[in-house]
Amino acid sequence: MSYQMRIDPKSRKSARFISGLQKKIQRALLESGKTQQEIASILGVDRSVVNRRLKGSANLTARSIAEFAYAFDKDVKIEFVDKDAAALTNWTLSSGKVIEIDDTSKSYARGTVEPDTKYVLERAGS
Amino acid sequence: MATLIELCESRVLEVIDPLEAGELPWRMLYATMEFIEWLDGELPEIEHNILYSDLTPIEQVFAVFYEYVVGENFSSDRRFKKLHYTPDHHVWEFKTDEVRVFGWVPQKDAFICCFGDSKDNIEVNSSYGRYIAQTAYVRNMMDLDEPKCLEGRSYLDVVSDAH
Repeated sequence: MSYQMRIDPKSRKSARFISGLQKKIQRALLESGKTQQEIASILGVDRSVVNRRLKGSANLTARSIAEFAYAFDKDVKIEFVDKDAAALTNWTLSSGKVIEIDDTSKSYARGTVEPDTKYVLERAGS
Repeated sequence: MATLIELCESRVLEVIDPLEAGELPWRMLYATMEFIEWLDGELPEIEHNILYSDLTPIEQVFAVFYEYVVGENFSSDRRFKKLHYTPDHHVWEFKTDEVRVFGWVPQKDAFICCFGDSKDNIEVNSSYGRYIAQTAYVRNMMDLDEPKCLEGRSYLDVVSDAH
């Protein structure tokens, strides 16, 4: 069993979106190669304003996002898309328990197996 | 001595799952039972300052936990960082606009949450040192296989990124 935070689905969606948005802006700043001071000069505001917008989600508005896009010389695109399950994983889950599969219990495609492989089935299946 | 899995089975630790159905974890987030009590009891009661964030404290913690588990990069935003202290106790923290979570890294791409508090409380009471010492104490007392924590200082010593 695992623990899930007591937070309603609407809050979960908001938290993920707003936090993700903030990260995208920070990443865009890095990729632009510009400093916060340069962004502030382009926007005609004090550097502390740029810093607050980057660090705190409270200062993010549609306008401030558009202004960031202007400063980065980029466009902003917002789309509503169908939900998609994540494809990447670094772990294997089994009945809520985490198990690490080492190389000796690796399976191979098309039903073939490495002749020397020793399977640890109890470990993999528990 | 016990593995992380065994500690979860014996209810010393709990896996925190902030993912939606169908999503898979890139990193694992564990918590002590005391931390789970804090998540349920005290975190929702932390006073929210709307000037700090659009998100409430519990939403802030949920968001940073989600991004950790899903494998987001944290190297540039300093929301996941090692606390520098002498001597080094190998304690790391998650930082949100209003909340701090203290814990340690038992193995790469895993984190054990141990204590949480509001940023304002910590600053007013100067309690960083206390939380670092308490986290190290909990780790020392836990029946976890050695080495109990990674001692690397850099981000890449303790996490890999999904993207």
